[in-house]
Amino acid sequence: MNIIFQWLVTGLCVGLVLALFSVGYCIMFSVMRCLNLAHAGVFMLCALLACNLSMLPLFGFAKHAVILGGPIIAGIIFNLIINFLALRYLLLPGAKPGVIETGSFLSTLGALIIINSIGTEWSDGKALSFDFNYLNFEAIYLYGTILPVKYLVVGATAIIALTVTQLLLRSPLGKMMLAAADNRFLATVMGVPVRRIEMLAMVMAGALAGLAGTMIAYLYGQATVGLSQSFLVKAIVIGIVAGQGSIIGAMLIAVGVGIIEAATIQYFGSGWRDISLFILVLIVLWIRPQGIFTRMQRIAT
Amino acid sequence: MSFIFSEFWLSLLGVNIALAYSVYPLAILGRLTVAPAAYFAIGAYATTYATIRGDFLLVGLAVGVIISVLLGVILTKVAGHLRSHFFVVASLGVAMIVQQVAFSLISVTNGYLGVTSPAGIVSWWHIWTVALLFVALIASLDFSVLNGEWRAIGEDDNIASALGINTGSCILMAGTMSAAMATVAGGLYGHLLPFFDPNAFGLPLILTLVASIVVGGVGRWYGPLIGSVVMTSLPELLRDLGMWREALTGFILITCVLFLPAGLSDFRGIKALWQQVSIRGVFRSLLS
Repeated sequence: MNIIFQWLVTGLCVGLVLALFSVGYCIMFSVMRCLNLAHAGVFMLCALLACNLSMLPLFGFAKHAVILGGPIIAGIIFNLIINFLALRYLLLPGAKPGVIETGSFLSTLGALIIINSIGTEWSDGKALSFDFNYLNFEAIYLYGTILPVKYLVVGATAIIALTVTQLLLRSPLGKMMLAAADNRFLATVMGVPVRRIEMLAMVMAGALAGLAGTMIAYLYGQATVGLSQSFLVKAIVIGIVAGQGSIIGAMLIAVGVGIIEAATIQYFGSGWRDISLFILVLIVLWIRPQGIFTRMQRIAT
Repeated sequence: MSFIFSEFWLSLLGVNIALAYSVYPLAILGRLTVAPAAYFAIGAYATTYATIRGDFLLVGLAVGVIISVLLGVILTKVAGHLRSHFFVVASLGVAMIVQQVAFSLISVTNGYLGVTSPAGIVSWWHIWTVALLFVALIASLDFSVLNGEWRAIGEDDNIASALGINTGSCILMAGTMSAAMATVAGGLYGHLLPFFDPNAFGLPLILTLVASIVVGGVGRWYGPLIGSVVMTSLPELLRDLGMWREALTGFILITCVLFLPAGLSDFRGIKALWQQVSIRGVFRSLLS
Protein backbone atom coordinates (compact mmCIF):
# COMPACT_ATOMS: atom_id res chain seq x y z
CA MET A 1 0.00 0.00 0.00
CA ASN A 2 2.62 2.52 1.01
CA ILE A 3 4.75 1.78 -2.09
CA ILE A 4 1.74 2.50 -4.29
CA PHE A 5 1.13 5.72 -2.36
CA GLN A 6 4.79 6.67 -2.77
CA TRP A 7 4.95 6.37 -6.56
CA LEU A 8 1.49 7.83 -6.94
CA VAL A 9 2.52 10.99 -5.09
CA THR A 10 5.84 11.24 -6.94
CA GLY A 11 4.13 10.75 -10.28
CA LEU A 12 1.40 13.25 -9.47
CA CYS A 13 3.95 15.86 -8.49
CA VAL A 14 6.15 15.43 -11.58
CA GLY A 15 2.96 15.23 -13.66
CA LEU A 16 1.78 18.61 -12.36
CA VAL A 17 5.09 20.22 -13.34
CA LEU A 18 4.80 18.46 -16.70
CA ALA A 19 1.28 19.91 -17.00
CA LEU A 20 2.67 23.43 -16.50
CA PHE A 21 5.23 22.80 -19.21
CA SER A 22 2.93 21.12 -21.72
CA VAL A 23 0.07 23.61 -21.29
CA GLY A 24 2.43 26.26 -22.68
CA TYR A 25 3.34 23.96 -25.56
CA CYS A 26 -0.34 23.28 -26.30
CA ILE A 27 -1.30 26.97 -26.17
CA MET A 28 1.31 27.66 -28.84
CA PHE A 29 0.24 24.60 -30.81
CA SER A 30 -3.42 25.59 -30.84
CA VAL A 31 -3.04 29.35 -31.37
CA MET A 32 -0.19 29.41 -33.88
CA ARG A 33 -0.37 25.81 -35.21
CA CYS A 34 3.35 25.65 -34.39
CA LEU A 35 5.13 22.67 -32.88
CA ASN A 36 7.59 24.67 -30.84
CA LEU A 37 10.33 22.20 -29.92
CA ALA A 38 12.46 25.06 -28.59
CA HIS A 39 10.01 25.22 -25.66
CA ALA A 40 11.99 22.39 -24.06
CA GLY A 41 15.19 24.40 -24.54
CA VAL A 42 13.67 27.50 -22.93
CA PHE A 43 12.53 25.33 -20.04
CA MET A 44 16.06 23.94 -19.62
CA LEU A 45 17.66 27.39 -19.69
CA CYS A 46 15.16 28.59 -17.07
CA ALA A 47 16.00 25.61 -14.84
CA LEU A 48 19.72 26.44 -15.14
CA LEU A 49 18.97 30.08 -14.37
CA ALA A 50 16.90 29.10 -11.31
CA CYS A 51 19.86 27.08 -10.02
CA ASN A 52 22.21 30.03 -10.46
CA LEU A 53 19.74 32.47 -8.86
CA SER A 54 19.19 30.20 -5.85
CA MET A 55 22.88 30.54 -5.00
CA LEU A 56 22.69 34.35 -4.73
CA PRO A 57 23.25 35.67 -1.18
CA LEU A 58 19.70 36.97 -0.67
CA PHE A 59 17.28 36.43 2.20
CA GLY A 60 13.56 36.45 2.89
CA PHE A 61 11.09 37.87 0.43
CA ALA A 62 13.79 39.05 -1.99
CA LYS A 63 15.02 35.49 -2.44
CA HIS A 64 11.54 34.10 -3.16
CA ALA A 65 10.85 36.94 -5.59
CA VAL A 66 14.14 36.44 -7.46
CA ILE A 67 13.85 32.65 -7.67
CA LEU A 68 10.24 32.73 -8.85
CA GLY A 69 10.32 35.89 -10.95
CA GLY A 70 13.70 35.69 -12.63
CA PRO A 71 13.15 32.51 -14.67
CA ILE A 72 9.62 33.62 -15.61
CA ILE A 73 10.89 36.92 -17.05
CA ALA A 74 13.78 35.12 -18.74
CA GLY A 75 11.38 32.58 -20.26
CA ILE A 76 9.22 35.37 -21.68
CA ILE A 77 12.26 37.07 -23.22
CA PHE A 78 13.61 33.81 -24.69
CA ASN A 79 10.24 32.97 -26.21
CA LEU A 80 9.89 36.41 -27.75
CA ILE A 81 13.32 36.01 -29.34
CA ILE A 82 12.34 32.60 -30.72
CA ASN A 83 9.07 34.02 -32.03
CA PHE A 84 10.95 36.86 -33.69
CA LEU A 85 13.67 34.78 -35.33
CA ALA A 86 12.31 31.31 -36.00
CA LEU A 87 8.51 31.45 -36.21
CA ARG A 88 7.36 34.89 -37.34
CA TYR A 89 8.45 34.47 -40.91
CA LEU A 90 6.65 31.13 -41.26
CA LEU A 91 3.28 32.46 -40.17
CA LEU A 92 2.68 34.70 -43.14
CA PRO A 93 -0.97 34.92 -44.22
CA GLY A 94 -1.88 32.34 -46.81
CA ALA A 95 0.53 29.62 -45.66
CA LYS A 96 -0.81 26.08 -45.92
CA PRO A 97 -1.53 24.27 -42.60
CA GLY A 98 0.80 21.33 -43.16
CA VAL A 99 3.61 23.65 -44.20
CA ILE A 100 3.40 25.64 -40.98
CA GLU A 101 3.48 22.53 -38.82
CA THR A 102 6.40 20.82 -40.53
CA GLY A 103 8.27 24.09 -41.05
CA SER A 104 7.96 25.15 -37.43
CA PHE A 105 8.98 21.64 -36.33
CA LEU A 106 12.21 21.97 -38.31
CA SER A 107 13.06 25.60 -37.62
CA THR A 108 12.49 25.28 -33.88
CA LEU A 109 14.57 22.09 -33.97
CA GLY A 110 17.37 24.35 -35.20
CA ALA A 111 16.62 26.80 -32.40
CA LEU A 112 16.73 23.92 -29.91
CA ILE A 113 20.20 22.92 -31.14
CA ILE A 114 21.40 26.52 -30.63
CA ILE A 115 19.83 26.69 -27.16
CA ASN A 116 21.37 23.34 -26.21
CA SER A 117 24.85 24.54 -27.12
CA ILE A 118 24.26 27.76 -25.15
CA GLY A 119 23.19 25.62 -22.18
CA THR A 120 26.25 23.39 -22.49
CA GLU A 121 28.54 26.44 -22.57
CA TRP A 122 26.73 27.91 -19.57
CA SER A 123 26.74 24.86 -17.32
CA ASP A 124 30.07 23.56 -18.69
CA GLY A 125 28.43 20.18 -19.28
CA LYS A 126 27.94 19.57 -15.56
CA ALA A 127 24.86 19.55 -13.35
CA LEU A 128 24.16 22.84 -11.58
CA SER A 129 22.80 22.29 -8.09
CA PHE A 130 19.90 24.11 -6.50
CA ASP A 131 20.34 25.67 -3.04
CA PHE A 132 19.67 22.77 -0.67
CA ASN A 133 18.50 24.99 2.20
CA TYR A 134 15.84 26.79 0.18
CA LEU A 135 12.36 25.87 1.51
CA ASN A 136 13.60 22.47 2.61
CA PHE A 137 11.40 21.64 5.60
CA GLU A 138 11.03 18.42 7.53
CA ALA A 139 9.37 15.49 5.84
CA ILE A 140 5.92 14.50 7.05
CA TYR A 141 4.76 10.94 7.64
CA LEU A 142 1.57 9.88 5.94
CA TYR A 143 0.19 6.33 5.61
CA GLY A 144 3.53 4.98 6.81
CA THR A 145 5.57 6.68 4.06
CA ILE A 146 7.94 9.63 4.14
CA LEU A 147 6.54 12.54 2.15
CA PRO A 148 8.92 15.50 1.66
CA VAL A 149 7.18 18.86 2.03
CA LYS A 150 8.96 19.89 -1.19
CA TYR A 151 6.41 17.83 -3.09
CA LEU A 152 3.51 19.66 -1.49
CA VAL A 153 5.07 23.07 -2.30
CA VAL A 154 5.61 22.11 -5.94
CA GLY A 155 2.14 20.59 -6.28
CA ALA A 156 0.43 23.61 -4.73
CA THR A 157 2.36 26.08 -6.92
CA ALA A 158 1.58 24.08 -10.05
CA ILE A 159 -2.11 23.88 -9.20
CA ILE A 160 -2.27 27.63 -8.53
CA ALA A 161 -0.50 28.40 -11.82
CA LEU A 162 -2.76 26.07 -13.80
CA THR A 163 -5.84 27.69 -12.24
CA VAL A 164 -4.51 31.15 -13.13
CA THR A 165 -3.92 29.96 -16.71
CA GLN A 166 -7.48 28.68 -16.96
CA LEU A 167 -8.84 31.97 -15.56
CA LEU A 168 -6.72 33.92 -18.06
CA LEU A 169 -8.08 31.79 -20.89
CA ARG A 170 -11.61 32.67 -19.75
CA SER A 171 -10.92 36.42 -19.74
CA PRO A 172 -11.82 38.47 -22.86
CA LEU A 173 -8.21 38.33 -24.00
CA GLY A 174 -8.12 34.56 -23.54
CA LYS A 175 -11.37 34.22 -25.49
CA MET A 176 -9.73 36.17 -28.32
CA MET A 177 -6.86 33.69 -28.11
CA LEU A 178 -9.18 30.69 -28.32
CA ALA A 179 -11.03 32.33 -31.22
CA ALA A 180 -7.74 32.76 -33.10
CA ALA A 181 -6.95 29.13 -32.34
CA ASP A 182 -10.29 27.91 -33.63
CA ASN A 183 -10.44 29.79 -36.91
CA ARG A 184 -7.74 32.26 -37.75
CA PHE A 185 -9.46 33.89 -40.71
CA LEU A 186 -12.83 34.32 -39.01
CA ALA A 187 -11.11 35.76 -35.94
CA THR A 188 -9.35 38.34 -38.11
CA VAL A 189 -12.69 39.31 -39.64
CA MET A 190 -14.21 39.72 -36.18
CA GLY A 191 -11.49 42.19 -35.25
CA VAL A 192 -9.07 40.00 -33.30
CA PRO A 193 -5.48 41.25 -33.74
CA VAL A 194 -4.14 37.80 -34.55
CA ARG A 195 -0.42 38.66 -34.71
CA ARG A 196 -0.52 40.30 -31.25
CA ILE A 197 -2.55 37.41 -29.88
CA GLU A 198 0.13 35.04 -31.15
CA MET A 199 2.76 37.10 -29.33
CA LEU A 200 0.62 36.91 -26.19
CA ALA A 201 0.43 33.12 -26.53
CA MET A 202 4.23 33.01 -26.76
CA VAL A 203 4.50 35.21 -23.64
CA MET A 204 2.16 32.94 -21.68
CA ALA A 205 4.02 29.85 -22.80
CA GLY A 206 7.36 31.43 -21.86
CA ALA A 207 6.12 32.33 -18.38
CA LEU A 208 4.80 28.80 -17.86
CA ALA A 209 8.10 27.29 -19.09
CA GLY A 210 10.02 29.54 -16.69
CA LEU A 211 7.87 28.50 -13.74
CA ALA A 212 8.10 24.82 -14.70
CA GLY A 213 11.90 25.15 -14.97
CA THR A 214 12.12 26.61 -11.47
CA MET A 215 9.86 23.90 -10.09
CA ILE A 216 11.82 21.04 -11.68
CA ALA A 217 15.15 22.48 -10.47
CA TYR A 218 13.69 22.76 -6.95
CA LEU A 219 12.15 19.28 -7.08
CA TYR A 220 15.23 17.45 -8.41
CA GLY A 221 17.70 19.67 -6.54
CA GLN A 222 19.74 20.15 -9.71
CA ALA A 223 19.47 20.94 -13.41
CA THR A 224 21.38 19.64 -16.44
CA VAL A 225 21.33 20.21 -20.18
CA GLY A 226 19.82 16.73 -20.58
CA LEU A 227 16.51 18.04 -19.18
CA SER A 228 15.69 19.50 -22.58
CA GLN A 229 15.84 16.14 -24.32
CA SER A 230 13.70 14.24 -21.82
CA PHE A 231 11.08 16.99 -21.59
CA LEU A 232 11.03 17.45 -25.36
CA VAL A 233 10.03 13.81 -25.74
CA LYS A 234 7.28 14.22 -23.15
CA ALA A 235 5.95 17.43 -24.70
CA ILE A 236 5.69 15.75 -28.11
CA VAL A 237 3.93 12.76 -26.57
CA ILE A 238 1.44 14.92 -24.69
CA GLY A 239 0.79 17.13 -27.71
CA ILE A 240 -0.05 14.12 -29.88
CA VAL A 241 -2.04 12.15 -27.30
CA ALA A 242 -4.15 15.08 -26.07
CA GLY A 243 -4.68 16.50 -29.55
CA GLN A 244 -4.75 19.97 -30.96
CA GLY A 245 -6.63 22.74 -29.21
CA SER A 246 -7.48 21.01 -25.95
CA ILE A 247 -5.73 22.68 -23.03
CA ILE A 248 -7.58 20.90 -20.21
CA GLY A 249 -6.94 17.66 -22.07
CA ALA A 250 -3.23 18.45 -22.13
CA MET A 251 -3.25 18.99 -18.35
CA LEU A 252 -5.00 15.68 -17.70
CA ILE A 253 -2.73 13.76 -20.09
CA ALA A 254 0.37 15.39 -18.55
CA VAL A 255 -0.62 14.27 -15.05
CA GLY A 256 -1.41 10.82 -16.47
CA VAL A 257 1.97 10.65 -18.18
CA GLY A 258 3.72 11.56 -14.92
CA ILE A 259 1.88 8.78 -13.07
CA ILE A 260 2.46 6.21 -15.86
CA GLU A 261 6.17 7.06 -15.81
CA ALA A 262 6.44 6.69 -12.06
CA ALA A 263 4.62 3.34 -12.23
CA THR A 264 6.85 2.10 -15.08
CA ILE A 265 10.00 3.08 -13.19
CA GLN A 266 8.67 1.37 -10.05
CA TYR A 267 7.73 -1.93 -11.68
CA PHE A 268 9.85 -2.29 -14.85
CA GLY A 269 12.95 -0.11 -14.32
CA SER A 270 13.89 3.28 -15.70
CA GLY A 271 14.96 1.92 -19.10
CA TRP A 272 11.32 1.25 -19.98
CA ARG A 273 10.13 4.81 -19.24
CA ASP A 274 10.33 6.21 -22.77
CA ILE A 275 9.26 2.91 -24.34
CA SER A 276 5.93 2.94 -22.45
CA LEU A 277 5.29 6.53 -23.58
CA PHE A 278 6.03 5.85 -27.23
CA ILE A 279 3.94 2.69 -27.29
CA LEU A 280 1.10 4.89 -25.99
CA VAL A 281 1.77 7.35 -28.83
CA LEU A 282 1.82 4.68 -31.51
CA ILE A 283 -1.47 3.24 -30.23
CA VAL A 284 -3.10 6.69 -30.18
CA LEU A 285 -1.79 7.51 -33.67
CA TRP A 286 -3.15 4.21 -34.94
CA ILE A 287 -6.61 4.39 -33.41
CA ARG A 288 -7.33 8.08 -32.96
CA PRO A 289 -4.76 10.23 -34.80
CA GLN A 290 -6.48 13.53 -34.01
CA GLY A 291 -5.92 12.97 -30.29
CA ILE A 292 -8.07 11.80 -27.40
CA PHE A 293 -9.56 15.13 -26.37
CA THR A 294 -10.23 16.63 -29.80
CA ARG A 295 -13.81 16.72 -30.98
CA MET A 296 -12.97 17.91 -34.50
CA GLN A 297 -12.12 15.30 -37.13
CA ARG A 298 -9.09 17.26 -38.25
CA ILE A 299 -5.93 15.54 -39.48
CA ALA A 300 -3.23 17.51 -41.24
CA THR A 301 -3.52 16.84 -44.96
CA MET B 1 41.48 21.20 -45.71
CA SER B 2 43.63 18.12 -45.31
CA PHE B 3 40.78 16.19 -43.68
CA ILE B 4 39.12 15.76 -47.09
CA PHE B 5 41.83 13.33 -48.14
CA SER B 6 41.74 11.27 -44.96
CA GLU B 7 40.33 7.81 -45.42
CA PHE B 8 38.13 8.00 -42.33
CA TRP B 9 36.44 11.19 -43.44
CA LEU B 10 35.75 9.77 -46.90
CA SER B 11 34.24 6.63 -45.38
CA LEU B 12 32.09 8.66 -42.98
CA LEU B 13 30.88 10.77 -45.89
CA GLY B 14 29.92 7.62 -47.79
CA VAL B 15 27.94 6.25 -44.84
CA ASN B 16 26.20 9.60 -44.33
CA ILE B 17 25.24 9.78 -48.00
CA ALA B 18 23.82 6.25 -47.86
CA LEU B 19 21.87 7.12 -44.69
CA ALA B 20 20.52 10.39 -46.09
CA TYR B 21 19.30 8.61 -49.22
CA SER B 22 17.32 6.17 -47.09
CA VAL B 23 15.07 9.04 -45.99
CA TYR B 24 14.40 10.12 -49.57
CA PRO B 25 11.72 7.58 -50.65
CA LEU B 26 9.37 8.48 -47.78
CA ALA B 27 10.26 12.18 -47.91
CA ILE B 28 9.02 12.58 -51.47
CA LEU B 29 5.76 10.96 -50.34
CA GLY B 30 5.30 13.93 -47.99
CA ARG B 31 6.26 11.86 -44.96
CA LEU B 32 9.50 13.06 -43.41
CA THR B 33 10.85 10.24 -41.27
CA VAL B 34 13.55 9.84 -38.64
CA ALA B 35 13.06 6.07 -38.29
CA PRO B 36 16.22 5.39 -40.40
CA ALA B 37 18.17 6.19 -37.21
CA ALA B 38 16.55 3.08 -35.70
CA TYR B 39 17.25 0.87 -38.74
CA PHE B 40 20.80 2.23 -38.77
CA ALA B 41 21.27 1.03 -35.19
CA ILE B 42 19.77 -2.38 -36.01
CA GLY B 43 22.14 -2.79 -38.97
CA ALA B 44 25.19 -1.77 -36.93
CA TYR B 45 24.41 -4.15 -34.06
CA ALA B 46 23.36 -7.08 -36.27
CA THR B 47 26.53 -7.04 -38.38
CA THR B 48 28.83 -6.47 -35.42
CA TYR B 49 27.19 -9.34 -33.54
CA ALA B 50 27.78 -11.60 -36.54
CA THR B 51 31.42 -10.63 -37.13
CA ILE B 52 32.33 -10.85 -33.44
CA ARG B 53 30.97 -14.41 -33.39
CA GLY B 54 33.10 -15.15 -36.44
CA ASP B 55 30.28 -15.33 -38.97
CA PHE B 56 30.28 -13.68 -42.35
CA LEU B 57 29.20 -10.00 -42.35
CA LEU B 58 26.46 -10.56 -44.93
CA VAL B 59 24.71 -13.08 -42.64
CA GLY B 60 24.32 -10.39 -39.98
CA LEU B 61 23.29 -7.88 -42.61
CA ALA B 62 20.55 -10.21 -43.88
CA VAL B 63 19.18 -10.75 -40.38
CA GLY B 64 19.31 -7.00 -39.71
CA VAL B 65 17.51 -6.20 -42.96
CA ILE B 66 14.76 -8.71 -42.13
CA ILE B 67 14.26 -7.25 -38.63
CA SER B 68 14.20 -3.65 -39.76
CA VAL B 69 11.96 -4.32 -42.78
CA LEU B 70 9.48 -5.94 -40.38
CA LEU B 71 9.71 -2.84 -38.19
CA GLY B 72 9.28 -0.58 -41.21
CA VAL B 73 6.19 -2.51 -42.32
CA ILE B 74 4.72 -2.17 -38.83
CA LEU B 75 5.44 1.58 -38.83
CA THR B 76 3.88 2.16 -42.23
CA LYS B 77 0.86 0.03 -41.32
CA VAL B 78 0.35 1.92 -38.06
CA ALA B 79 1.11 5.46 -39.18
CA GLY B 80 1.26 5.36 -42.98
CA HIS B 81 -2.07 7.16 -43.34
CA LEU B 82 -0.68 10.17 -41.46
CA ARG B 83 1.34 13.03 -42.88
CA SER B 84 3.65 15.87 -41.88
CA HIS B 85 4.46 16.11 -38.17
CA PHE B 86 2.26 13.16 -37.16
CA PHE B 87 4.42 10.79 -39.17
CA VAL B 88 7.61 12.43 -37.88
CA VAL B 89 6.47 11.83 -34.30
CA ALA B 90 5.53 8.20 -35.00
CA SER B 91 8.93 7.54 -36.56
CA LEU B 92 10.62 9.38 -33.68
CA GLY B 93 8.80 6.90 -31.44
CA VAL B 94 10.33 3.96 -33.31
CA ALA B 95 13.80 5.55 -33.14
CA MET B 96 13.54 6.15 -29.38
CA ILE B 97 12.16 2.66 -28.68
CA VAL B 98 15.00 1.00 -30.62
CA GLN B 99 17.59 3.11 -28.79
CA GLN B 100 16.12 2.16 -25.41
CA VAL B 101 16.04 -1.52 -26.41
CA ALA B 102 19.70 -1.20 -27.41
CA PHE B 103 20.44 0.10 -23.92
CA SER B 104 18.51 -2.75 -22.28
CA LEU B 105 19.44 -5.76 -24.49
CA ILE B 106 22.87 -6.24 -22.95
CA SER B 107 23.53 -9.74 -24.35
CA VAL B 108 23.79 -8.36 -27.91
CA THR B 109 24.63 -4.67 -27.53
CA ASN B 110 26.66 -4.68 -24.30
CA GLY B 111 24.52 -1.74 -23.07
CA TYR B 112 26.25 1.45 -22.01
CA LEU B 113 29.69 -0.14 -22.36
CA GLY B 114 29.38 -0.38 -26.14
CA VAL B 115 30.76 -2.95 -28.57
CA THR B 116 34.17 -3.13 -30.21
CA SER B 117 33.90 -4.23 -33.80
CA PRO B 118 36.70 -6.21 -35.52
CA ALA B 119 38.85 -4.05 -37.78
CA GLY B 120 39.78 -4.60 -41.40
CA ILE B 121 36.52 -6.10 -42.62
CA VAL B 122 35.02 -3.06 -44.33
CA SER B 123 37.24 -0.70 -46.31
CA TRP B 124 36.44 2.65 -47.88
CA TRP B 125 35.70 1.27 -51.31
CA HIS B 126 33.00 -1.07 -49.94
CA ILE B 127 31.31 1.95 -48.42
CA TRP B 128 31.59 4.03 -51.57
CA THR B 129 30.28 1.20 -53.76
CA VAL B 130 27.17 0.99 -51.60
CA ALA B 131 26.77 4.78 -51.47
CA LEU B 132 27.06 5.18 -55.24
CA LEU B 133 24.68 2.24 -55.71
CA PHE B 134 22.10 4.03 -53.56
CA VAL B 135 22.61 7.29 -55.45
CA ALA B 136 22.11 5.40 -58.74
CA LEU B 137 19.01 3.67 -57.35
CA ILE B 138 17.40 6.94 -56.28
CA ALA B 139 18.41 8.68 -59.50
CA SER B 140 16.84 5.92 -61.57
CA LEU B 141 13.74 6.16 -59.37
CA ASP B 142 13.63 9.87 -60.15
CA PHE B 143 13.49 9.17 -63.88
CA SER B 144 11.05 6.24 -63.65
CA VAL B 145 7.25 6.01 -63.80
CA LEU B 146 7.11 5.69 -60.01
CA ASN B 147 8.42 9.22 -59.56
CA GLY B 148 5.22 10.83 -60.84
CA GLU B 149 3.01 8.60 -58.70
CA TRP B 150 5.04 9.15 -55.54
CA ARG B 151 5.24 12.90 -55.96
CA ALA B 152 1.49 13.01 -56.61
CA ILE B 153 0.98 11.30 -53.24
CA GLY B 154 3.40 13.83 -51.75
CA GLU B 155 1.18 16.67 -52.96
CA ASP B 156 -2.14 15.23 -51.82
CA ASP B 157 -3.14 11.70 -50.74
CA ASN B 158 -6.82 11.93 -51.59
CA ILE B 159 -6.38 13.36 -55.07
CA ALA B 160 -3.68 10.79 -55.83
CA SER B 161 -5.95 7.90 -54.84
CA ALA B 162 -8.79 9.47 -56.85
CA LEU B 163 -6.46 9.37 -59.86
CA GLY B 164 -6.14 5.62 -59.40
CA ILE B 165 -2.81 5.46 -57.59
CA ASN B 166 -2.62 2.75 -54.94
CA THR B 167 -1.52 4.96 -52.04
CA GLY B 168 -1.13 2.20 -49.46
CA SER B 169 1.15 0.01 -51.55
CA CYS B 170 3.31 2.99 -52.59
CA ILE B 171 3.82 3.98 -48.95
CA LEU B 172 4.55 0.38 -47.97
CA MET B 173 7.11 0.08 -50.77
CA ALA B 174 8.82 3.33 -49.82
CA GLY B 175 8.89 2.35 -46.15
CA THR B 176 10.41 -1.05 -46.93
CA MET B 177 13.01 0.50 -49.22
CA SER B 178 13.93 3.08 -46.60
CA ALA B 179 14.33 0.37 -43.93
CA ALA B 180 16.54 -1.84 -46.10
CA MET B 181 18.79 1.02 -47.26
CA ALA B 182 19.30 2.42 -43.75
CA THR B 183 20.15 -1.04 -42.40
CA VAL B 184 22.87 -1.54 -45.01
CA ALA B 185 24.30 1.90 -44.17
CA GLY B 186 24.25 0.93 -40.48
CA GLY B 187 26.07 -2.33 -41.20
CA LEU B 188 28.88 -0.35 -42.82
CA TYR B 189 28.93 2.21 -40.00
CA GLY B 190 29.32 -0.53 -37.39
CA HIS B 191 32.62 -1.56 -38.96
CA LEU B 192 33.81 1.95 -39.77
CA LEU B 193 34.25 2.93 -36.13
CA PRO B 194 36.30 0.74 -33.79
CA PHE B 195 33.77 1.32 -31.01
CA PHE B 196 30.16 2.48 -30.61
CA ASP B 197 27.41 2.51 -27.99
CA PRO B 198 23.63 3.23 -28.12
CA ASN B 199 24.28 6.96 -27.58
CA ALA B 200 25.53 7.10 -31.17
CA PHE B 201 21.96 6.50 -32.41
CA GLY B 202 20.16 9.12 -30.34
CA LEU B 203 19.04 12.68 -30.98
CA PRO B 204 22.38 13.95 -32.39
CA LEU B 205 22.20 11.41 -35.24
CA ILE B 206 18.55 12.30 -35.84
CA LEU B 207 19.44 15.99 -35.94
CA THR B 208 22.22 15.43 -38.48
CA LEU B 209 19.89 13.27 -40.57
CA VAL B 210 17.05 15.79 -40.59
CA ALA B 211 19.46 18.68 -41.18
CA SER B 212 21.08 16.99 -44.17
CA ILE B 213 17.67 16.22 -45.72
CA VAL B 214 16.28 19.71 -45.12
CA VAL B 215 19.43 21.56 -46.19
CA GLY B 216 19.76 19.45 -49.33
CA GLY B 217 16.08 19.26 -50.17
CA VAL B 218 14.20 16.42 -51.83
CA GLY B 219 13.10 18.18 -55.00
CA ARG B 220 15.73 16.41 -57.13
CA TRP B 221 17.72 13.20 -56.72
CA TYR B 222 20.96 15.04 -55.87
CA GLY B 223 19.43 16.87 -52.88
CA PRO B 224 20.51 14.48 -50.08
CA LEU B 225 23.96 14.26 -51.69
CA ILE B 226 24.48 18.03 -51.35
CA GLY B 227 22.95 18.06 -47.87
CA SER B 228 25.11 15.27 -46.49
CA VAL B 229 28.30 16.69 -48.02
CA VAL B 230 27.55 20.06 -46.36
CA MET B 231 26.54 18.53 -43.04
CA THR B 232 29.54 16.15 -42.87
CA SER B 233 32.19 18.67 -43.87
CA LEU B 234 30.95 21.67 -41.83
CA PRO B 235 31.78 20.15 -38.41
CA GLU B 236 35.30 19.35 -39.69
CA LEU B 237 35.82 22.79 -41.21
CA LEU B 238 34.62 24.54 -38.05
CA ARG B 239 36.57 22.42 -35.61
CA ASP B 240 38.05 25.53 -33.97
CA LEU B 241 34.65 26.84 -32.89
CA GLY B 242 34.23 24.06 -30.32
CA MET B 243 30.73 23.88 -28.90
CA TRP B 244 29.42 26.62 -31.16
CA ARG B 245 29.64 24.56 -34.31
CA GLU B 246 26.45 22.75 -33.28
CA ALA B 247 24.82 26.15 -32.87
CA LEU B 248 25.91 26.95 -36.41
CA THR B 249 24.24 23.72 -37.60
CA GLY B 250 21.02 24.91 -35.97
CA PHE B 251 21.38 28.33 -37.54
CA ILE B 252 21.83 26.81 -41.01
CA LEU B 253 18.75 24.63 -40.43
CA ILE B 254 16.62 27.65 -39.45
CA THR B 255 17.86 29.71 -42.39
CA CYS B 256 17.14 26.90 -44.83
CA VAL B 257 13.64 26.25 -43.51
CA LEU B 258 12.71 29.93 -43.57
CA PHE B 259 14.30 31.14 -46.80
CA LEU B 260 14.96 28.04 -48.92
CA PRO B 261 12.14 25.55 -48.19
CA ALA B 262 13.16 23.39 -51.16
CA GLY B 263 16.77 23.16 -49.98
CA LEU B 264 20.12 23.89 -51.60
CA SER B 265 19.32 21.60 -54.55
CA ASP B 266 16.70 24.13 -55.68
CA PHE B 267 19.05 26.24 -57.82
CA ARG B 268 16.24 28.39 -59.18
CA GLY B 269 15.11 29.20 -55.65
CA ILE B 270 18.66 30.24 -54.71
CA LYS B 271 18.82 32.49 -57.77
CA ALA B 272 15.45 34.06 -57.00
CA LEU B 273 16.45 34.58 -53.37
CA TRP B 274 19.72 36.18 -54.46
CA GLN B 275 17.85 38.60 -56.69
CA GLN B 276 15.30 39.47 -54.00
CA VAL B 277 17.68 39.98 -51.11
CA SER B 278 18.22 43.54 -50.01
CA ILE B 279 19.03 44.95 -46.58
CA ARG B 280 15.73 46.82 -46.48
CA GLY B 281 13.78 43.72 -47.46
CA VAL B 282 15.39 41.63 -44.73
CA PHE B 283 14.57 44.24 -42.08
CA ARG B 284 11.04 44.62 -43.37
CA SER B 285 10.39 40.87 -43.27
CA LEU B 286 11.80 40.61 -39.76
CA LEU B 287 9.81 43.57 -38.45
CA SER B 288 6.53 42.71 -40.18
